Amino acid sequence: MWYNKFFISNGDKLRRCSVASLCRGEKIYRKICDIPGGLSVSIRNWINFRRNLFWSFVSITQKPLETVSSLKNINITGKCHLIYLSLYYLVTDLKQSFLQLLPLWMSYIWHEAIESVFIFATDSSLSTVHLKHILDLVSHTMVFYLGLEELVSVKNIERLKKDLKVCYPLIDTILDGLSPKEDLEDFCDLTNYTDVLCCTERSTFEGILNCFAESVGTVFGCLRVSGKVAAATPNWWTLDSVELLQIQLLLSNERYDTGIDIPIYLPVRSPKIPFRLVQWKLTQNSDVCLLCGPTPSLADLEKEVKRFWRTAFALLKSAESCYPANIPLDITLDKNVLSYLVVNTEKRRSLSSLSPHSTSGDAHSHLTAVRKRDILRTFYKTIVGTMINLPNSEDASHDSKEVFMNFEYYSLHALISEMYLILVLYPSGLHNHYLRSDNIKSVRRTSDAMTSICSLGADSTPTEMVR
Amino acid sequence: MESTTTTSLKHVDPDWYKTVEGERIVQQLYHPINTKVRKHFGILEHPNVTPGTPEIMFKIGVLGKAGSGKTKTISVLSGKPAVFPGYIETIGIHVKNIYWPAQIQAKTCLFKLQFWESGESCSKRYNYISTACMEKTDAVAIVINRADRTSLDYADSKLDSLSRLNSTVVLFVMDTEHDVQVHDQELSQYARRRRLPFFHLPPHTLDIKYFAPFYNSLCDFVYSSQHKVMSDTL
Repeated sequence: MWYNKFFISNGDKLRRCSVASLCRGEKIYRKICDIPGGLSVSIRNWINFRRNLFWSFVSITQKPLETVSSLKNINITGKCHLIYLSLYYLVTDLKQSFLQLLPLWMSYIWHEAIESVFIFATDSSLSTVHLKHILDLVSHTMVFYLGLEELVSVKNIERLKKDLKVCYPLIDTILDGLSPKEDLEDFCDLTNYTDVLCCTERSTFEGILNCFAESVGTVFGCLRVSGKVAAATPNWWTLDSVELLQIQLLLSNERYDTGIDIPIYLPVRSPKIPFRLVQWKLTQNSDVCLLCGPTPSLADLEKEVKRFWRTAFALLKSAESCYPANIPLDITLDKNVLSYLVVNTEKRRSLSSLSPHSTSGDAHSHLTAVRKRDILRTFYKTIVGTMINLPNSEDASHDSKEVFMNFEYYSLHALISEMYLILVLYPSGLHNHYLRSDNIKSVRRTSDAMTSICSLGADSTPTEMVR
Repeated sequence: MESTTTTSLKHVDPDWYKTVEGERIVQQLYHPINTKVRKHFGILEHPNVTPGTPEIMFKIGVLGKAGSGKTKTISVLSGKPAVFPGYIETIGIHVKNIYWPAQIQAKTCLFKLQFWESGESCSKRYNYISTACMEKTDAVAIVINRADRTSLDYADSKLDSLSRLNSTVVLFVMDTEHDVQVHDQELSQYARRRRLPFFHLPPHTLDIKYFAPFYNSLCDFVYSSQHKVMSDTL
């Protein structure tokens, strides 16, 4: 696929090692090309690769602004460009420039003027895994809105640039994930998995949803409560992670609308034939979302939605009360759990809460929800791919299963257990020794309990919780 | 400046929202804790009113030249926070339910205005979009942006086809602070010639003294032209 032609890497690593080692993953014959830190804008070197092609290499470290403006004027002499720009600036100042440049790079790829675009970032808090994920998402977004056909058979680049503008809000949301806004609570953009809400009404909702979807002639449907998936049809989960993520991000941008009907392409499953993404808001905090073909119309769907969901109104209200703990009210977590993130890599779902003690209040209120979210996000970015691998990861370079981090005001614990990754934020003062010996049991028990909830497939809700 | 918003209303009591009962119901439109935030109701619920209050539903299709501010109009009317800065074309259909309580002939009722909006170029690409937006509408609103003369030309071109469909048409006028291209006099002349009512969008999204007259006159006009029966009771 064309979008696999993006390769990215971390700039800091680049400075320390060499371009060649970055290309190792591509198994390309390499000639060493060391890059000392602090380069000025220049065409640095020629690299001779296996197929005896000359790849021009452009590296820019110090002056990202000039870089981006100069990139447009680069004379393509080889088969590939290595473009090195600072993702840090990209997020802050250069977002628009980046968006302007993307179609240009894409057109080079399509016209085979270049084979690959390499983007290196210098923000050291992001490891390769996360950067690649972000670029994948950005390129998928273009297919999501315009369809593959439109992008591949591009005739007029200016026209395409104009058309691509519709992607900006979603790309913005993706890039915003690098420095999230206050109201973002979900982790989907980071983990690539669907954020779920766990409620005891799930099986009833699934029953209604399946009947409803069948009656309107689709197999893809989900019910979302507080922006998190509370129930979905079996086929909904067969969609690719990136498609589920894009739908979730798109819907989060449209949360003030009562109903929407947006033509989209599924980048993996259906990149050439559009679907209609339809959503009707049921209550202020819950909505039902479908992927349909040409019929039924949005107005007809409204009638059907009312017919099927009216009786579930009380249940919806009860499910809404799970928020913000995102687990049933009768489950109380250990008081020391300030917030958590549980990722089920097999089912591709994640369960998280920034305020897990919604009824009894938080004993350690010196951390705001936003702060807790930032701590967890940074923790995730720091450890995943560098210290531990996700359970289903192909890369087996890190075999540690547990990470502890202690700071002045809080402690963090990460645990890999079967197909789960569990991150928990604790208050400070819990001694490391305590965490490792006495507390490890309770950590495990907390995790066990949460993992069984997170599976969203367990028929009974575990009652035994820690303290 | 004269517009229909200042003329007398046929059915709706213009000052009812200031009464105790009116205030109580209007408050239902806001978030209970943060009174600066409007509630965004789902289709299974409605503001808490006395049982038996009739609900009058209007489907209003929103038209306008690409980039004239259709999405912004809906944002302003629904009290939605600021949207994406700069112009971004709307994709697909966006429906927004807005409730407004009013008193007609000494009887309290709840208007449910359902605005249907879609992006111009997206509608051209996918045929079903404009059909869905314009099907069975009670009124069609055309957005006139005073900073863009061509939005009047667009209205002209649409009016001919709309008159064939016997639609009730209103103009939503979006004011601008600088670079006014459509002046007051021209606007009122145009409206008189075309026999269309025009409504200036409230300048403030949350202050009731601005948007109450807007909703009252809009509901009054559509109600009079449609002669809707107050049948559905809540």
